Amino acid sequence: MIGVLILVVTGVFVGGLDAVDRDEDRLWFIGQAVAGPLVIGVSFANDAIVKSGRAGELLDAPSRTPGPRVETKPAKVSTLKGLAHPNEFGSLLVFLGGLMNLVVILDALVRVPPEPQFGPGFGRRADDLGKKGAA
Amino acid sequence: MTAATTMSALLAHMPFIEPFPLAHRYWWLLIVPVAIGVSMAWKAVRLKTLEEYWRHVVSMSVQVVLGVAGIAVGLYVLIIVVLPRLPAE
Repeated sequence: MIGVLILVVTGVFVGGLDAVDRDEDRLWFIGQAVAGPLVIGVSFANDAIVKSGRAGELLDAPSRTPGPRVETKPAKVSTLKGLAHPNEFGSLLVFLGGLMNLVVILDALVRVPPEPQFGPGFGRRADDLGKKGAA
Repeated sequence: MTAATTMSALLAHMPFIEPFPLAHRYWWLLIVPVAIGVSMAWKAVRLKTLEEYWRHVVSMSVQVVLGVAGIAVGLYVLIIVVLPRLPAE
C-alpha cells in the first residue's frame, strides 16, 4: 500500500492537481481511479480549486481552429494547468499507482491461503492420535 | 533557467496544487520514485515472506534504474553514432 501511495503522492506532487482530470484525460483517469478514492478526490479537487479559478487565474483558451473564433463564450484555462513533462509524468505516476493497486487486488482475489500452522494433531504426541478411540 | 529564476520559482511553488517547476528540466530523475514505488508494490505481492523485503525492493529498484539507463545509452548510441554512419539511399 505504501508503494502505491508513493506513486500517487509523487504523481500529484509533480503534476499538481491537474495530473488527475476525469474530463479532459478520461482514459488516463480510468486507470488512475483504480488506485482508490484518493485519486477520485484529487479529480474533484482539480475541479473545485484549479478549474474553478480559486487558485491561479483563468485565461481565455486559444482557439483550436485557425481563423476567427466562432464560439460566443470562450473556453477558460487555468494558469496552474500542467503542461509537457510535469503533466505527462504526473499522470503516468498516478496511473502506475492504479496499475499496481490492480495487481494487489488481483493477488488478493487469487492468492491461495497458506497451510494452517496448527494442524489437527497439534499439541498431541503422535501415538496419542491412535489412542483417541480407546479413551 | 538561472539560479535566481529557479529559486523564485521554487519559493512561489504551491505543492500539490500546481506542477513542480523543476520537473521540466529534471524529468528523467522521476525514474527513481517510479522504480521504488513499483518495486515496493510488486515485491509485497510476490514474496512469500517479508523477511528480506527491503533487500529485494532495493535490488529490483536498482535493476529497473540500471535497465532504463542501459536502454537510454543504447538508443543514444543507435541514433547519434550508428544511424548517421549508415549509407543514405
